[in-house]
Amino acid sequence: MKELTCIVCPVGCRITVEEKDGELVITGNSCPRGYEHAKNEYTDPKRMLTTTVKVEGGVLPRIPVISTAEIPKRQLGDCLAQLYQLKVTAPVAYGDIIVKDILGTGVDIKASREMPAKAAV
Amino acid sequence: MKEIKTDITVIGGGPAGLAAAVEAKKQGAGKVLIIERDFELGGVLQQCIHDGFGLHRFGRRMSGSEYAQIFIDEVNELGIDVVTDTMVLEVTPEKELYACNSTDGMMHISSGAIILAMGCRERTAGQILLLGGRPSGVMTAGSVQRYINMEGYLPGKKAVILGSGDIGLIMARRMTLEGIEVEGVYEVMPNPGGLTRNIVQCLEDFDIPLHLSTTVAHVHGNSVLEGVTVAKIDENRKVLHETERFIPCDLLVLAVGLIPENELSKGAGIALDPKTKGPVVDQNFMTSVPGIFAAGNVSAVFDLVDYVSMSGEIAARGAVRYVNGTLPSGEGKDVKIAGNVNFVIPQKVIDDPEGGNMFFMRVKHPDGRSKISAAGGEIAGKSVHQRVAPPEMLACEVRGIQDAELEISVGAVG
Amino acid sequence: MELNERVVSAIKEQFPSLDIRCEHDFRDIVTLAGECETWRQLIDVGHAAAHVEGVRNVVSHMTVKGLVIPKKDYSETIRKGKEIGVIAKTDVLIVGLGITGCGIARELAKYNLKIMAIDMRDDVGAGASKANNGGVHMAGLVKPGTLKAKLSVRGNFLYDKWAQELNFTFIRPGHLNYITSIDHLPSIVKIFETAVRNHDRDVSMLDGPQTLKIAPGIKEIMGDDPVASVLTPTQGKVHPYEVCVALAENAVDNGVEILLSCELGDVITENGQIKGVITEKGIIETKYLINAAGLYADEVSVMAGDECFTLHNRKGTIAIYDKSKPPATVQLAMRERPELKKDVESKGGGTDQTPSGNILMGPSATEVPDKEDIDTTEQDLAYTLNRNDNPTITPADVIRIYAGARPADLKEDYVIGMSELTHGLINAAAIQSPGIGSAPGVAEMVEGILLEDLEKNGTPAKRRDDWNPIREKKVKFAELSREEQAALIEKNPAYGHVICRCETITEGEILDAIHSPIVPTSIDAIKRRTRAGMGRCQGGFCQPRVLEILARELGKEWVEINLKGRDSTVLKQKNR
Repeated sequence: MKELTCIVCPVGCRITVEEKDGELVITGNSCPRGYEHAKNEYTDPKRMLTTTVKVEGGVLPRIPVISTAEIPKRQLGDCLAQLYQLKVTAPVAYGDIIVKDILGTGVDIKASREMPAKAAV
Repeated sequence: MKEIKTDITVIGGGPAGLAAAVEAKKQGAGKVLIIERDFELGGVLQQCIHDGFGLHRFGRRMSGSEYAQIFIDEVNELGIDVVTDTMVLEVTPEKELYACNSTDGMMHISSGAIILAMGCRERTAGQILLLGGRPSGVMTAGSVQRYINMEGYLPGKKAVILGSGDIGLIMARRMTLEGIEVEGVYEVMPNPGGLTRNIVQCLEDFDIPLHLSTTVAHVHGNSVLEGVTVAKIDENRKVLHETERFIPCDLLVLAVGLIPENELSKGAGIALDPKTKGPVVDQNFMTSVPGIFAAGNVSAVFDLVDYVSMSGEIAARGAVRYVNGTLPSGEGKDVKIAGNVNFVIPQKVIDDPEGGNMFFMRVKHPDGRSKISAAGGEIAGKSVHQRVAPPEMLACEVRGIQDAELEISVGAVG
Repeated sequence: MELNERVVSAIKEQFPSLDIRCEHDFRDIVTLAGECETWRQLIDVGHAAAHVEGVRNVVSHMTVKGLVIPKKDYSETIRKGKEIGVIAKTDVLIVGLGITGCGIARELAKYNLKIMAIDMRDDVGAGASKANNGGVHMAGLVKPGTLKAKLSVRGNFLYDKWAQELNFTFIRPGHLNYITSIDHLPSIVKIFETAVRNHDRDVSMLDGPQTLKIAPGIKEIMGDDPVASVLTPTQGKVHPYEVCVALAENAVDNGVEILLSCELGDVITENGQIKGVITEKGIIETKYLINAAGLYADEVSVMAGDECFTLHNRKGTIAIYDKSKPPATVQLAMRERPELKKDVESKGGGTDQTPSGNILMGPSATEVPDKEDIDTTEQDLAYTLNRNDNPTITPADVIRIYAGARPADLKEDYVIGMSELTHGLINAAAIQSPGIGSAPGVAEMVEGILLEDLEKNGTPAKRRDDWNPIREKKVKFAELSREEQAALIEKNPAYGHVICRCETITEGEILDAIHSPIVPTSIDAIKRRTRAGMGRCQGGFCQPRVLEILARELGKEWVEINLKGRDSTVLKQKNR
């Protein structure tokens, strides 16, 4: 059994998901979108991934990145671990793919801003 | 002193200023100048690396930095002038402006119109009268966000967060992902300050507890933070000493509210609204000083960046019409509020059929299904909300504002 | 009756349940022992003893039931110092660089003496001095006949010269104590008479209309109807930390050697003569030890073999308000509220202002057993905020609250003089309010004591020909006209880069502060020198930039930069 707060709209229904005889029993939702959300959260919750990656020679030491789609929640930790190992070099353009198909999820990690190179002093 | 003349000068290169400058140029303004005090454009969005921006405007989940990037690219394409690392020192009621930086020196800028888009600042330990010591390790959420997301440094190993507004919640997740242990989020009010979505995805996802009606009663440490004492508070915000609990930590993150930055506005003699702490504006977001407009968090603290950009665009259209001499003038009439409405901006309407028609408001208290209604105008689009709460700003379009009294109200509906 | 017996009976009279023992020495310094119920009571007992006629000062060995009085452990400092061994030899060593020590260092630098000065903190003026309300007090509030009264009047007189030579901000807004009921007349008459007895020639009494003529804000803003007032035009205001820095910089320019983050562990004496000190940075041999160690001066005196007073922390809490709500009057106008003056020794401050135009409220006055206790508390803050008479300001306008420690002795007067037990030990101790205003007077007195002793020993000090009394004026960008600012940026572009947005402090000013005779190494040290971070956002925006500049200029890593004092780094490590 899993209890969750629905985030589809501001109402924030408390939804309960139970498995009975291989079937999902979902209660507490007040709309079909809530049902769908609860089902996904129970079977395969996904999240967007955002963090920063080391960048060399940029105007800042870190560049923010974002996943191009949601990633299974259980894989977020491993994805982060991989991203923390990386170092990219400036300049980086907005939308540059930093990691393609991260951990076989089919989702790319892209730069979420441009990162100009630091002017030589 | 360098003399500069512009049609429109935008003070601040955050979301409001960027949107205002782009819209002004698109509306045919000649020389548009953005003055930004940081080293680059984007404002606070550059440190907002999390997603959730731009859902209304772009229909997708973007990070703050992406949202800024799209506008920055447009600024560059449209040939809008930008000066960064530049501080505006003074705006006079005559729309004269003094600004300085290291490369241009002191600048005296005369503008056809000015758009104020300085954003807001965070409330601090001093402002909330936080008791105890004043050691290192006590920081506002925005400062922590800047250090972690832009400068690349962590200010602690174990954190307590005071304030459950969205910034506090976002930082709870962000710090956790960076390996900082977040002991809990403490909120003085009996209700969370942030969106349910953020409670779920930033706290519940990481098993971070949220303690309501609880405050930090004492900060321990003279020069280095040793920990905090938290305690429940009663309805009158009195600390219940018997509930005190000591938590060792080396970082106290304060997410205790935002205040519009209006020091320049005050200098220009602009009338401020004590409730919003921003200028009183009409439906074109023009302030009490003709030709000076206010956009975004300068006018009131918004919760959605889409509304911030929208207000920038409305102000820009007004500013262009002002420069062209086609903006009607007038004292304007106060917009009245009723029911559950705490405040509304714009606070005034003038007789201007072509003017802006967006109204933004916050409610006084949480309520169920509620409806926005307008007397003296007609609400266009969505007027019924499933739930309303003070942290979430409501927006509505009001059509057919006549030269009459406008009253906006929010009330529960069955 | 012997002095100690009179003391015991005086205490017994006021505190019949206590069993306090008393001894006295040849100087009529009495030492008390026994157990009290509370810390507050211990202080009261000490005061009662000090009030007995003939008592010169009071040493407390008293304890409090159920309370462990915090005591500093110097053993590690001593161990470190001994291990390092002798690092320097000097004629004069000043311990403590608050306003008192800085003032003394500056004045003694005139002579052909080798002078060193140490402080346990990472900056000058970083103890009691920085948390002071910055008053250069008028003569109406200090007890005539005390050393405190004499030196504060003298100090007030000397301040113009100090400000002129050392180029720090000094204003004389004057003080106006007014009453709204004729019933309160005695309270302002007392101030007037006290001022006159302390030889203040400028003090005057005004009637209601005269009062409103010079301070219309009392009615227009405060909403009060004054019936009379006492005006003391000599009341002045400074930024106390700025004065400390100015004095210390001038001292260094004239050859004084300063060691910061250097705690004293012990004093070496031989046959009743000062020989040296053991510090955490090593042993320093010296002929004279000037004890300006603030709240720890009693402990330093004990180390030097002369236990002659006991200090207690009378904590004061201060609230600073946003500049957008300026003071209602030019003068420091205060409505007399006789009902608040329950405690004669602990009169706290009221509505006040800083030279930068912030309203300042407080300080409160609370006795606490721990010398390191500078925490703000609910009660103290309530006292401070309640001192407000101005209806246009509210607690929502507060930008900063803080507390500081007054180093008070039980006699409640300054202890200044050459020790009768240990030759070479000159105490400049128990300098509490009005210590900032008294500083020039204290320095002058200590200078006299030292010169006299040198003379007596046949080694008179000579004035140096090359002594430079001037400390150059620092750039204060925000105070300049637009034209002056433009010219300045043209000369040095760093003044065009505004770092602190609230106070308009430029990179140029921060660089000036870093490349100065006393290098500031922490964010707060920069704040005290430049005001960066002192505004309404409290460093929210500028702290990362100040940190970056400090790291760059000092050749340090970001994670090594402290907020204030040892180990108080702002950042702990780089991101993952």
